[in-house]
Amino acid sequence: MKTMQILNRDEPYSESPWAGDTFDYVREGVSAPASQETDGSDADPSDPLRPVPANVIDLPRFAPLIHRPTEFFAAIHEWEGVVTDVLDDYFNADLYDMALGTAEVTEVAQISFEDIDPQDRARVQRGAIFRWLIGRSRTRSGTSSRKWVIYFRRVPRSLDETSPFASLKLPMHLMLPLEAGDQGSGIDDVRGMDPAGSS
Amino acid sequence: MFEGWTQPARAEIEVSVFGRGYGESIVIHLGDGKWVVVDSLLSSGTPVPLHYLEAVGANVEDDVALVVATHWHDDHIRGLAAVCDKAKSATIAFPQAMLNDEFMAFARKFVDLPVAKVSSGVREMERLLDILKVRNWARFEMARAWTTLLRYHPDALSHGAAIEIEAMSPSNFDMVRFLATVAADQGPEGIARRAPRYDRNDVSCALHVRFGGGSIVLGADLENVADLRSGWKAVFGAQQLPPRTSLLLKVPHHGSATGHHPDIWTRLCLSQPVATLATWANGDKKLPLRSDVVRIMGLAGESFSTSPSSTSGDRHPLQAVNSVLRRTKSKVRKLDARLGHVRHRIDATDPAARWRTELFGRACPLSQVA
Repeated sequence: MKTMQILNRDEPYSESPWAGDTFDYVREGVSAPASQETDGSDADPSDPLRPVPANVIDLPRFAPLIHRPTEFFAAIHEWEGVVTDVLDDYFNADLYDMALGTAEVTEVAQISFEDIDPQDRARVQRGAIFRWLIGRSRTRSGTSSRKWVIYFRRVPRSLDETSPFASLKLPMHLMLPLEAGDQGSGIDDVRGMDPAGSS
Repeated sequence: MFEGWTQPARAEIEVSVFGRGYGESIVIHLGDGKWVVVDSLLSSGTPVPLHYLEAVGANVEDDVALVVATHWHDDHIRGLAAVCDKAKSATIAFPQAMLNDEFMAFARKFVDLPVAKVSSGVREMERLLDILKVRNWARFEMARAWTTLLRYHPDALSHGAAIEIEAMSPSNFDMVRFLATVAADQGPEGIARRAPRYDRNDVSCALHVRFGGGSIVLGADLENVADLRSGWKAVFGAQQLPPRTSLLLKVPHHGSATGHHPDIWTRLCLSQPVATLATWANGDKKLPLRSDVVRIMGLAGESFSTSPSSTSGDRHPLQAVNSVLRRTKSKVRKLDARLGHVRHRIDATDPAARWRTELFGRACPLSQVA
């Protein structure tokens, strides 16, 4: 039995999700062509006709690749966060500890853009909600390390038609226009004078 | 919650300022067991003003005369709807802009947020509107500059002092600008987002409380900006200010330089008033700064804070979390969840009386603020 790497021709060698992994090759009747047994060290990895290294068997693509996770992540702490300010190199956020029973801000954070996925940069807007997980990551080869993941919540926008914001009907006397120079109206209910007052 | 939470005397005016990590609230005793609540914060899930009023034996249902929401964002008024729900005789007041169509359309975008912990940002306002609808809008006042929210005739309370609570802000200009801002809010489609707080506290409602020959200034989060029609400049541009009689100031906007206007100290307050503030933190920002502390201590006779700091360090209880955070370029600071309470009382029947201050929990003299 020989330890080998498996190469799929549809993907650049260096970007294969399995790159770096090793497998025990057990399939019968397949062997690497002798003419292609080179080390491939000078080859352009994006070239589909590049020479195949000697320890690699070139398989035809029978079916779409099954993407197996290369890494497993177990969270040991989790925050829900809200972006409160966006600055040049970082953003400020309120954090809510997911482990606590209360829905109150427990921490405030200054989060560098270098610590988030560049694809999420456009999602960092005031009020945007994200999750920040801190935990332990383990690769399929067994290497373990502590890591963090920050991801922004994506949802379809929906409107709650039962909210008073959707159906507020003010009494006529409260429908006062806002005009420049218009000053306050005062009240009619003077406690201690108005028979309907609560004093 | 604290030893020493005693009922005020019938003739005593009390101003209690509560603060913890995030949020603040003020409870005022007007005399004869009549109370006012300004904003709210939670402690262990309970609205602090309710907790305090019940602890000192107040009859919340009948004797809370006024509840004011000086802000619209629920970070500042957490639990206020629960206070209003219980205070069935209270007049409820908040800035007029919150009833405008532009704000309603803005708020609708956030009410159905599918999140675990984060609130929509407009949840407390939504509940307040529900309560007002059920009460058929009885006892509601729209707060805007120089609107009287509550008035007691001198004969109404046993100390014999007339009481008048006026909103000093927001100006109409600030409300219109706020509505233009929320109308222009176009968050990206498909991103879960709560109602954002904006940089400027345009529609924050500062209050002026007159009692007999004295007064109290509650600065809310009102700021001092260049535009004469906005913030504190709009307040001091008024044709007629109330008389300069205040010896007690709740310092605006956590004591920040942007909340400072010299006329607060020279046209509303008498020389060397008692000043109290609540601390605040957001990301890399903390208030008050040391320079703010020095400025306020130079202007006030006595000055206090609800806590020495709004944060309690950057160490997480889990070592693994600290280990990962050290490898990032980000910083996390824990908010101090412990409550602080600064209580001021004065005898309303004694014209020569001075404010007496008591400190509870994390509250401290301003000089101790880090």
